[in-house]
Amino acid sequence: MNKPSNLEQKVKDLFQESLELTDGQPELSDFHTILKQSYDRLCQPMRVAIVGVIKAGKSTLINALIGEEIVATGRVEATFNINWLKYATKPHLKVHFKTGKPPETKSFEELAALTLRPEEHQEYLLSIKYIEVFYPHDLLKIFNIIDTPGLKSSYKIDSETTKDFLRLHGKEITQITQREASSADAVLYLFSRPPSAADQKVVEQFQGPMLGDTTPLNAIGVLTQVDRYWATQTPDPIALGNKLSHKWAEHPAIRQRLYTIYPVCGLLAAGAQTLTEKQFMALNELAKLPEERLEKLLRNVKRFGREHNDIIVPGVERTELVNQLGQYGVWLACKYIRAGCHEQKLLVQDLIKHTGIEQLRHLLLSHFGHRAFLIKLGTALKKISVAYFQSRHLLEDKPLAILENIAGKFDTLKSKEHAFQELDVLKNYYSQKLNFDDQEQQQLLEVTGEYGTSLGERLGLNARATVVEMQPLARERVNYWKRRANNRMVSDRATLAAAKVLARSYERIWYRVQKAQEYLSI
Amino acid sequence: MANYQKHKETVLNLFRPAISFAQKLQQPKLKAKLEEAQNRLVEGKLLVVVCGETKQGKSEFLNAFLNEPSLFPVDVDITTNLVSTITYGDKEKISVLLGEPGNTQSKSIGRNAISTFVTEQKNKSNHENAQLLVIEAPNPQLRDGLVFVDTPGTGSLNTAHTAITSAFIPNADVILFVTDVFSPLTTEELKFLEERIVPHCQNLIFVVTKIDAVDDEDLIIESNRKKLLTLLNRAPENIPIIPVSSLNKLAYLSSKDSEDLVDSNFETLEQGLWQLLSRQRGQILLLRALGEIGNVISSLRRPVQVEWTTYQENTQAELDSLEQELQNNQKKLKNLLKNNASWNAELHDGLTDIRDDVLGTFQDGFNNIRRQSEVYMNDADLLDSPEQIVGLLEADIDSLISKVERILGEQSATLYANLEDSSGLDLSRTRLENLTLGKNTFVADMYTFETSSVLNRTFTVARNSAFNGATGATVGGLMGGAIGGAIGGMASFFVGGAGALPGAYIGAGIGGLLGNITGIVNGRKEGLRQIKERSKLEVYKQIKPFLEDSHSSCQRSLKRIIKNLERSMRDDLNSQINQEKDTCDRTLQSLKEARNRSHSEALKRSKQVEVLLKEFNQVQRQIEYLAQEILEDDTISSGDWSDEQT
Repeated sequence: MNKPSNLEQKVKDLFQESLELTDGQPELSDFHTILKQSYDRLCQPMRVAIVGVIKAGKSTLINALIGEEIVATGRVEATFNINWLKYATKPHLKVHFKTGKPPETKSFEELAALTLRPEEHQEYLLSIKYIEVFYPHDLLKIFNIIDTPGLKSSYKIDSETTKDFLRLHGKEITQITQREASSADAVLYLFSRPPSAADQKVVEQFQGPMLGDTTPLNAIGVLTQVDRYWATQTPDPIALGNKLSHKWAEHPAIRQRLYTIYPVCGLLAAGAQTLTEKQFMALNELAKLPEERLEKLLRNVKRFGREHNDIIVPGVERTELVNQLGQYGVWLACKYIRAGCHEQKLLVQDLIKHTGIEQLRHLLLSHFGHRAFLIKLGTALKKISVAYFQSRHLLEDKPLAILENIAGKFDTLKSKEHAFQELDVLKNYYSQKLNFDDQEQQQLLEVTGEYGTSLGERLGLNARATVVEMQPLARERVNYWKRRANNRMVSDRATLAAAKVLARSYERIWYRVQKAQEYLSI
Repeated sequence: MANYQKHKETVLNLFRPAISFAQKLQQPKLKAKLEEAQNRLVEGKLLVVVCGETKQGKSEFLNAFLNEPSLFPVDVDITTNLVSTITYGDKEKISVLLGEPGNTQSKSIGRNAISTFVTEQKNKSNHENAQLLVIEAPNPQLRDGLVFVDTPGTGSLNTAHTAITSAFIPNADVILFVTDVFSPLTTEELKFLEERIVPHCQNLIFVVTKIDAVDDEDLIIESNRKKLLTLLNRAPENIPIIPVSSLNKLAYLSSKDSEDLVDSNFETLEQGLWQLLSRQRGQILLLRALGEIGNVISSLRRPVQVEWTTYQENTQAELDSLEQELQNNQKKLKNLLKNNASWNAELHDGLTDIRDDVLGTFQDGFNNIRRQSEVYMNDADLLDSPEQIVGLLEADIDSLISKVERILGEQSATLYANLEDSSGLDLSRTRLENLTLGKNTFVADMYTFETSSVLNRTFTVARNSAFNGATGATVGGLMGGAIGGAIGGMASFFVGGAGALPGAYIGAGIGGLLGNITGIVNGRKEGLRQIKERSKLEVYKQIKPFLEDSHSSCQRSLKRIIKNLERSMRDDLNSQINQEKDTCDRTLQSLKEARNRSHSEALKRSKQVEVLLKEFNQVQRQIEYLAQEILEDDTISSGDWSDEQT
């Protein structure tokens, strides 16, 4: 879980204070409402939208992120509605309709039954606008997941249901997806196959109006189903996944749109977190088999599930196990057990380490979570500012004083928070409005915190950089960027403005490094 | 072992007695004809084209089929982008064809260098300008004449290699369409099948790979089958979808564990493949060979037959009349060989009619395409990505051409048959046969070979196949069309022995035509991608010249194809007539000589000739029997495919 930063705490305190001040002041009731709405939005869990072609492993990834099997996975695709996963104390569904019919509450089982036989319930299914899925998992208090039906171009390709539906609704589906993607705080784009750099389809997917305004500010690529590489390519699928993702992320079309690409062994991640005790026992039995024998069995899923005289675990259970963890997962688990891991909890931890899911979760929550807060805050501040200007003419005396006080505090927050200006620079950079050379671009990304918010990371070193290492670098950067900000001959206004912000960023870092130095020398 | 291999051996064995007949009877020309036919069967190629998206295990699949774990590069971050062909060769030889179409050179490379040319990673955007990878390997899987052609993915068909791919598909004997167990058949793949494959070749086997990773491949198989039902318009039992595991097959190579082999399900695939090949191309190759043997034996036999007849109890008057008839025939055949023989004009007129018909059909079809282009240009969605319009038009043209090709093939075959009739060629044959049989029948063993219905079917199949563009073609010829004829020596191993049949020109020509169209298309697609404004006017500025270029290119090609066809039909008919005349001459000669023999000589000769005739009978009977068997292979029960699947 992430701890609220200083800024976040300051903001929350300020809002609470302002709400108290404006509560019960009838002339300020509108202003109060706006404050409340903004605050609510700020406190809402982060919205994470998941987009991908069919069969890219979306459902598995969602289950892996949450750590529980919430969404049903299957070999043939199921629904084409939006699912919005939220927190509630009891699991249930709320179905929202396109027609304006009031939302219906349903149980999981009821909806599963409907989607099992889509032809029979076509009319009902087609009238669904989206479904709110409520589930009692703590992570959902921190982020919500919006599971989109995908993109028309890729969606057209392999639905079980009638072509007509797609012809009629394909565009609508795309619009829905685009809308959700553009209002989400983070968007995960899932790929199940690494395309080559020349793969036209992928490149086309990232150009043009199809994906709306996603930028690396809030979009991440996820390479899913990496577990599959184990059988044919490597004993360490995630390592291979990383190698591929790096290569892939270098493609210019992708660099423009995605922050980075993360590989994930979705199946293993979901399966490990939902492993039952019985399954753990079965793994222990299987670990007793000679390695070669186990590997040979794992070479074919059906073979693995066949009855053999010398294997105690019944075939049916073995099939269930391999569908739970994947071939790689079973192999890895047995390897750990053989090496001495005897506790289920520890085994799960070991397995998870090889799936990339924790890195992804961390990235979502810390990096994008914080960014999301900033972005929402920026929107809120704008709204508050507008409301202030609109209201002040109509007020006098005490209410006016209160308004001025609150507006002033928010204004100070905005101007003092250098983070906003850094965010703007980043936005402009991703929109390709700035003219920096490669090295400058790299430093821009570093100092605005794209690679980490520690001092060291902002300087392009790692998080454990020492003061000795950071000092000269920080000074060098300050000098460089101050000069850059004054070099009117070379650059346009936007670039110069950005350079000025970056110079200030480096100044602040320099200041903190100095402080750290002083502290150490005492 | 599948039927093709079995029958091929038997047919090849039949060449031996036939050749020794020709030797004994001192007929070097006929002997050469037999040897040529034998060679054609030995060298006979069965073309298997492998289609499917890369990344779905196509390269692994090929490696597994060929039992070559490291032939094609299979790393997960690799895309193969080059058409590759593999045939049998006594020594491993790998060459890559480089350069622009029309100006290509072949370069010999080692196995390790394959990825340098074949992968996108090492040969970015094909800067090496590679057109084709040609592999010869002493691989037992290929020994019976299999030629594999691996084409790059359907999705990334906007590569320059489409020209070559288009050239191969119409000439494929079987197409293996490969997908994997994780990806249901996409609309794009179905579209590709509908537009590019089905119009040309209906012999399809769908291969679903990577079944080692799942336990429920049946789900996706059935899902695919449903989608294919509407497309292929066949009963579900007649859509072969075979699941395999390349991984397990390759593991079997080192483990030798039968469980790996069984789990790979490759044997089912091979059986299915050979079954299909045997039934179609295999049958044609065999029947053609058999037909040749029968033909030559006929020619060899007739003089002998007549000699025997002479030695029987015939009056002088009867023999005089026989001699007169033969002389009449001889004269007739001589006339047929003259330039002003009426069949020449009939051939020319017939082909002129066909030409008019074909060009008319083409024109009508193309007018429709022009109208259709309007419809496309009025579609807002398409205007947004106008290169799609050209793609659609290309598919439309493709369909039209395949329709034209069919008409051309059918009408040519009919014309040919009619010419045989009207020229009296057919008649001469049967009449000669009847004459030589004479009144006396060789009771138990006499054999009405020529008029046997089975053999007629054989000849019909062989002849029609000659005009069916697909099977008449030699791949070398079509490659010449597609790549501009520069491959020279490389074509040799594609050609199923020397001697293209008349219909080969159709196949080769059409292949080349389609290749040209693809070239035009690619050029325009690029142009359309570059236009700034997506308005109908701008798009039209590109589409109009595209249609004009395609139209004139097609017309030119069609005219050329028909012209070559006329030439080759004339040559072929002349050659047949020549052979008949030769036989007639020899028969007449034989009769005259026999009549001049002394009584004692005649007696001696008669016995010798009888023995020879008995031998002829035996071989001819074997031919008929074999032909019957091969023809009957055509009927496969519908339960076959479902039975084969595990």
